[in-house]
Amino acid sequence: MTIQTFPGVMGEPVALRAALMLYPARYRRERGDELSAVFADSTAGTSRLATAREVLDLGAYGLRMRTGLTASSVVGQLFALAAPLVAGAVAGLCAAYTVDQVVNPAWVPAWTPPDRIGEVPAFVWFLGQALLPLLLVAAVLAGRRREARYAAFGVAGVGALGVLTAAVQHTPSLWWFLARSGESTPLLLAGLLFAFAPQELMEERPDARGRIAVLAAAAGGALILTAEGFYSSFGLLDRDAAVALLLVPAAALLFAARGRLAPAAIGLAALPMTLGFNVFRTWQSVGGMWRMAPLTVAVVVGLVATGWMLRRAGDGRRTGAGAGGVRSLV
Amino acid sequence: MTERAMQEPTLLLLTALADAPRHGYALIQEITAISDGRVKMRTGTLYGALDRLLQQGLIEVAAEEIVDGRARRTYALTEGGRGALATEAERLRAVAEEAQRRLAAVRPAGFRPVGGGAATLAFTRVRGAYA
Repeated sequence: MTIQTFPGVMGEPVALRAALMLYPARYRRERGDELSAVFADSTAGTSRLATAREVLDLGAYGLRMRTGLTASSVVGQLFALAAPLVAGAVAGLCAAYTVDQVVNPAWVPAWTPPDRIGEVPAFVWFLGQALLPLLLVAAVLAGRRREARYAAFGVAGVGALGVLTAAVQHTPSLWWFLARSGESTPLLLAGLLFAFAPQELMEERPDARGRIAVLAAAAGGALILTAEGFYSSFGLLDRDAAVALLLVPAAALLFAARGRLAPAAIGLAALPMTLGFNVFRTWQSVGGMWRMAPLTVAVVVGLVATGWMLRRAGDGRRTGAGAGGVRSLV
Repeated sequence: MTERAMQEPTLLLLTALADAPRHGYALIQEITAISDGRVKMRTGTLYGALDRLLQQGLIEVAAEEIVDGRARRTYALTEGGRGALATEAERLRAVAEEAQRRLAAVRPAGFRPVGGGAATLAFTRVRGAYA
């Protein structure tokens, strides 16, 4: 494929080329010239800011194609179905965590304003996890998609802050890092899942049945945290519950390979809630990395096989989606 | 899976193709015109929608050609796409008609806010202030 330089993109061929490199090679061969031509026409005579937005938009679709998260792929449809549920689940989980902190406060309560600069991240994390998931689920229920997406990025940001803080504070202790970062991985994964789900497939505003599904997901998130013992070290003793909380949602993903997206979406919405802390819990309760290896290999092989089957399913047939997209769970 | 209401970008894209096949940039221009400048579809977004509609069988590639040294594909509605657009247009027409009927049913002189006395009084006062 040759990337042509048109009058409208003088100065931006590198950015255009970089955006096109994000596309799968086959798609780039088939559509690269066409995309370049439309990009050139669209950016002719526009400001640098407008051109930069075009480049970002072009690159974003390339990334979606790379990751299989397009609106026409089965994975994308699965993400769109799971997104409102994951919003409910993370809101329920975080609300339960906040209530637990208020009812059973630590020696220094989490909401105590920081005295030192080093305490700021933990304070911001606590406020963020208490507020942003609620904003996310409120935006979903109100049908405010743009606000929901911003809130989802915020939720992911708070999760990333928690993981980073755990890494900085507890390295080189792997035990402490996994224990503390497990409290943030639900935020990080749920925020990313929602933010990168194809927006065009999501309902404008959930109906009564949809709102009930979101609220049920919130109750599910609170139940998951209860089953995890509110991240308490006592919860580490229950190996069977930890393995079940990992395997049941992961196994539900297999339904997608049979074209049954609803149960798979429920599993996908639950997995961000359970993954981080229960990997740590399982590792702790089975007695080390080597003993955990067979389970890890089984889960990874299962997930890779599911992903492979989904890609094949997406390549091989038209989706059942109508002109409006897939029928949402909500 | 069941059908749900068509989202605006899809509706605009199918509408842009309803009277004639069009290539990528012409579609962007047409969508801007149809939406009265409100929607400016970007290249990546456009091709995401086109790929989805191609996969759903609602549009098809009508022609592939080189124009002024540039690759150009022209897209057209399929019979399925025409039917989906007609169904959505009928649904929107019915909603708009009902909205017009209800608006026409309310006579301005007889307007009484729902809620009774206090609201009506407030309404009267506002009118009085401007009288």
